[in-house]
Amino acid sequence: MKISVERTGGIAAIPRVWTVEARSETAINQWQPIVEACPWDSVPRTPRAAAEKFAGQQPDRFIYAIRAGQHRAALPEQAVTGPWRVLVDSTREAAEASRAEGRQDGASAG
Amino acid sequence: MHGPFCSIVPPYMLRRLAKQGAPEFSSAARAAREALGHVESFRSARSQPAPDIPAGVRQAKPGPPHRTVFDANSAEILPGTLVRKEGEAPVGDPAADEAYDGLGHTHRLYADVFGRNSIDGRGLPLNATVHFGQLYDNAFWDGKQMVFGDGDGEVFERFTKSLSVIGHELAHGVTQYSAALVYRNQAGALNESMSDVFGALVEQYVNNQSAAEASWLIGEGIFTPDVEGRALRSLKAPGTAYDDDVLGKDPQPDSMDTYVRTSADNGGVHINSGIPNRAFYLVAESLGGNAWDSPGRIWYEALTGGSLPPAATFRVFARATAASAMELFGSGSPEHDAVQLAWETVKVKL
Repeated sequence: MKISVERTGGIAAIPRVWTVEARSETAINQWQPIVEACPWDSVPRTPRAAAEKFAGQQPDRFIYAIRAGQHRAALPEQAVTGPWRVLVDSTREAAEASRAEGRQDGASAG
Repeated sequence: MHGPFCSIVPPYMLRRLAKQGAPEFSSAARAAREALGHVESFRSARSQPAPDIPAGVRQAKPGPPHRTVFDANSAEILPGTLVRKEGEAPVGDPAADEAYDGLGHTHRLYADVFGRNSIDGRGLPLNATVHFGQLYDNAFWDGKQMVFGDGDGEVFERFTKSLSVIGHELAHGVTQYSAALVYRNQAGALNESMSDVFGALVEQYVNNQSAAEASWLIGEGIFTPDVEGRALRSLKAPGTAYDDDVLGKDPQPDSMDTYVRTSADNGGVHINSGIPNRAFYLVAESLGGNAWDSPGRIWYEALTGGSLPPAATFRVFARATAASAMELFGSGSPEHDAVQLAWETVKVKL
């Protein structure tokens, strides 16, 4: 299962993408509850739909586009709370840790 | 107006739980599910307030600023702990003192140059929160106050280091209380451009820099030394502010020929703002002297004069600046000509 979090917006507007790939059974078992805890069906799937649903954007806030397997979601950062926050933060931490390990021993991330 | 947004379940506790073994994952998932109500209750970031002052009506003489700086102590709860009030001595925290000074500098530009009484034209107290979140690499205006993160230390340093960033955020407040430009597509890019223009002017005014002397950069000094870049954006040369192996290249276009169509970033509000940004720079370059004088006046009148619709396009705004230039300086004046030529150069038809 591939999980990716793309963050756009912010005053810098420099997109950041964090990706993890759960390949082993253990990894999938670890990520599955985090992914399934998110209410995918009750939030917009695209940034455009998110902009329409969450009218009145606060200037310079981040916007998150989240993918996990077949799931898609797009949320302004103010809505990235609860299980979404767990998913976003966990993905970012795992991706950054993997990248750091890759830098250290030359292993590939993911 | 809404209340502060924060996680019902402390995110860092949840994150720690999520990193443990399978049983703990179920606990985290359960806790997360319990927090769902927060997401479900989320409706909108804020509703745009109507302009407080009828368009075109002159305001009372600007009063002194009323600044308050709070410390979020790395949490994401606003406003946080009060650390410095108006008239109090520096507290020794660079972020808090930079925010306090930046609020004052910005207030002074609007008061001295444009005769505006604070952000709303009615003496709105200026509040800012520093040390928002952990490794939070952003600054924003939440509709009521400014918020600054400390940066992640890898790409960004603290956001209060740049006066143009502080000016940028407060200008979002001015736009909110005047033209209320919609934060999407071209209107959103204009909203961003207004913040870059007046953010740059705050810095130039404080440093008494002419248009020729100014850097025309937004966010100079907030990148760490590891980043190949001078700043977030350049009004003088959009698309040249940074070019980094990790972050990529500054994506701003400098004319309509390279306008970016995208659904990301609310329709590219921080990207296509390069076009009106450069138009302002070209006017300032053409007229010489201080950019906050004639060019700033023309842009300020276009923004606050009452003729600009919330969904304004670049063309509508360009016409508003041309009308302001004509009204302020006369048809065929150097100012009017400079405005027309600038928009022509960036390929926005009047």
